[in-house]
Amino acid sequence: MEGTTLHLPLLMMVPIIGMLILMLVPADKVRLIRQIAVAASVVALAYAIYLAIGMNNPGVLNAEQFAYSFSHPLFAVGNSSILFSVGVDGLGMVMVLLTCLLFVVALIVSLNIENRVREYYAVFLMLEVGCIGVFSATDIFLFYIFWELILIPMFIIIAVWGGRNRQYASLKFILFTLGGSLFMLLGFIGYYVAGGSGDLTHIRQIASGSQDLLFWLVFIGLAVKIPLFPFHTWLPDAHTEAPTAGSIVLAGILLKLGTYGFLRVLFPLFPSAANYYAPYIAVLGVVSILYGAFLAMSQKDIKRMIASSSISHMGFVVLALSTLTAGGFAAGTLQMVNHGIITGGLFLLIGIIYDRTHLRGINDFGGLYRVMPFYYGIFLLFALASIGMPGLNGFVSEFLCLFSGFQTYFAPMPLLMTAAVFGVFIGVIYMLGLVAKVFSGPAPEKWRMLSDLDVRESVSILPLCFLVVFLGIAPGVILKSIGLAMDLIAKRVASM
Amino acid sequence: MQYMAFLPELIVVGAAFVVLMFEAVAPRRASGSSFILAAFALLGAFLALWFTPAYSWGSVLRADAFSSLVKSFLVGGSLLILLYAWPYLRERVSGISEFCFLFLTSVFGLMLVTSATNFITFVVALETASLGMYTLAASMRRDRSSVEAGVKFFLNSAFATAIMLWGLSIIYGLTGSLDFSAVYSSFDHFAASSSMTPEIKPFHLLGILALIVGIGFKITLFPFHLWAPDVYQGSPTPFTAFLATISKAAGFAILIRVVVWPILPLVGDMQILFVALATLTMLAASTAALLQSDAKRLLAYSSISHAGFMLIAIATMRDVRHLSGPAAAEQAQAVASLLFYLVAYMSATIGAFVVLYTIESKRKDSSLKAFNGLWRTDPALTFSMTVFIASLAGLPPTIGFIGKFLIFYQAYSADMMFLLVAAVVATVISLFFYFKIIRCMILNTPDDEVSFRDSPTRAFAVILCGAILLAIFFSEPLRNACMEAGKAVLLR
Repeated sequence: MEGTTLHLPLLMMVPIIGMLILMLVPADKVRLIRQIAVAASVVALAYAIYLAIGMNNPGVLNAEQFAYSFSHPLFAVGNSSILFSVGVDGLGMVMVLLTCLLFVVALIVSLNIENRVREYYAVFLMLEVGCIGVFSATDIFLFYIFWELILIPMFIIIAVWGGRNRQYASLKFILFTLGGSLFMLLGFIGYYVAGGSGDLTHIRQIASGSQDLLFWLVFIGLAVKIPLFPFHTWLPDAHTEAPTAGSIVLAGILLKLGTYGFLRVLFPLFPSAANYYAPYIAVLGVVSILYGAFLAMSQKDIKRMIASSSISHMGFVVLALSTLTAGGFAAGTLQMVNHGIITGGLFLLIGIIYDRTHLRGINDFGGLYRVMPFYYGIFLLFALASIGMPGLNGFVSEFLCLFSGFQTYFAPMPLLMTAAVFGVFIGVIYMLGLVAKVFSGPAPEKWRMLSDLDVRESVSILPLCFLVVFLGIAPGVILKSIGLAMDLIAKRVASM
Repeated sequence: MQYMAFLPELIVVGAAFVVLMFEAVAPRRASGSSFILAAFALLGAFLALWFTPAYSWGSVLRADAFSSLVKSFLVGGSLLILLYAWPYLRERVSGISEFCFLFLTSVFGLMLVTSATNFITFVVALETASLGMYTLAASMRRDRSSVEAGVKFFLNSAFATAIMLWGLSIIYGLTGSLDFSAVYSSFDHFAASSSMTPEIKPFHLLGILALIVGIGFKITLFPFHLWAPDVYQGSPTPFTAFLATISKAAGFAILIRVVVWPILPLVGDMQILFVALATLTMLAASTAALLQSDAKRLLAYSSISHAGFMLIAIATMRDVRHLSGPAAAEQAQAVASLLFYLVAYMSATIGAFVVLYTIESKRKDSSLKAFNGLWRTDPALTFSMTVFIASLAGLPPTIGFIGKFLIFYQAYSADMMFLLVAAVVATVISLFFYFKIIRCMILNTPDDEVSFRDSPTRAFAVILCGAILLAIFFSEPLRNACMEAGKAVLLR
């Protein structure tokens, strides 16, 4: 095939090779194991950056605007084959970059893990392969295979290195997501039977009458992952019990798989159903915004609060995507990236305080700004970004999400959009309330000796700080690189 | 020519008798040599299957691509089971050569079942196999539950055979023959002119129903599955694997042949029965599996529920006599996907039983608790078991995923939405009980510090696990072979 390159399979091989080397190292050489794992993730990030820069070269994109495409048939079904087919467009590349970045952060922040270190890093690297795979798959079944490949490592991460209630949380996580993805598989098979191919680079139109059922089947699988109300109940448990790095990956990447699936499979495969049902999805998105915000407001546990706020922030993504316009898609994608960075950072910060005190209750703390000023500054930065302070990245994307939502839905459903804006206010209330309770006032005696950030923590948080500010000032970097992909998807959805 | 076509069977049955002689001639040395001979006989039969020509021996037996493929599953699977049974045989069984003799005769009988083209041959071959299997189930003579398993198996199986023979007598009365081809043409004639004598149609259906009930016992369809959990639990673990895979594969092979040949003209009337049996089997078995605390029983129910999944492929079959090329090809696809699913199911089930046996032999316990904290003591074994379970549950990237995918695809193509929904519900339920095992291995803390590293069966499990993982990249030849077999059995 013309323009076939092995770049993406090689990128996936990097963590796999890291994993294989880890297997050969004796389990007690903890230092070496950590170095190998972090090195593997850094190499993957560097490779991804190299590929991202290469995207601008002429001739990299093929006719369908996918770069670095590679395709090999796996097995034949019916008259066509299921392909090992990968490729990235602007959207996929941005998500792959985000994945590689957050994995570096997650692996660096995990350097203090002492329990079963080798297995810990091996499982994380396997998870990274799965995430890169989903974001670069261009065959629906390969997408599904990678999608499922992610679940077992995540299950193990929560189940083995998680908090007190890890048994319950990990089982709930895996059963919800596995159950949901079965519906997705059914939808995919139905599409394959009707369309005769699962190739996402040459999407075949299927009769609009048969789209409705398949649309909802795939939708359920994706909605569980986002998670949209009413499929969200696994999320607070899973986030709260996961170890810090697990929460970072879960919030930063795994939730995005669902909304990425909206753009990559759900809307392009079933355009007429998407046009018909988009308002319903918008309503679900707004319900998630409000429900998640209220849920967050009522939490006593900091980690649970941030987890619940994710439901709210992902609701903005869903609202933007449901407009089915190129602008809405771009806004949603930007919000995915920004939320990944902000929430990843917040979970990291909570992990830091939890490591020191083994407490996470909002009321357990107070006056920390005197004790840990540097920590306070960074936490405030992320909290402000999360509530959409102008100049930081959260503002741009939430504004764009609401803006595109207003353009499409304000005329038919003014109340809905008003409610969505109300979600932002609740966000301000609980986030600033959190900062006030934890950092202001007199510091209790027992917290006087807490130390500020050390080198490991600073190194892992600073790249995220930089991005929070940088993407607030220059969101165009991302908007420009995803623009073409967004236009194509929007055009496909509009053409029916 | 006819001897070449049935060479694999001759090798197996010949070895069985030589093994029997060993015991008489040199009882002291019999054990080791009979085991080696049995293993080589199975290996030889497996290799000979590649060279068997297609041949019909009158209307008695028939060797074609279909029977060769199924026989290679049977012989290959039996070889795996025999090899991993070695530690068990050495420790627990007094007469190894007896075991090998019975094992080989069972395999021989089941091989003939897949070649049968006459109901008499079928019943005789099935009973040959069953006699060996009853004894094998009870082969731990000092263990009460093993003896109980043997007796239960015998009584239930004899009952099922009786019902089947009753159905065959009705078919014989209606058609005057027990040849598949003669029954087929008689039924065909009846189906074409049934408007003239509608009053005898119920008898036709009754005869077929009784036949299917009889086969349904062997392949553990609901509600004829009740013997299975007890027998599976009581039997020695290597033999349980044999029952769950080899015997079931042969049962499905004969069911396919019966459905696409003698009863084909009336299969349209039977479709509703297959749909009902498949739905009930999947749902009832997965629900019952949720309540199990013994790993062997849990795998028994899992195996019953898989029979329901495989029946989906049969339920999608239609009367192909008047269908043209592509539609007939779709039927071949149904057979092919069932066969593929069978391989996926067999490999993962044998693997799961190997792991179970490894644990059981050290901890003397087959309950789920025996799996507690396996991850801490033996990550490799845990990983293998997780892969087997993922394959059974149909999760990618295992071969079980392809199998389940093909079955779902088949149901979709035949527009059987009801079956599809039932299958998905059953799969979701099955995730709960499969994860019970994973949960025990990963989440629970171990009760003791037993190491499995010196277990001879452990390497076996790891190799099988690698094969299942790699299968997704190399499944194409197997798919093609399944497709050839499907065409062979349909087009005769």
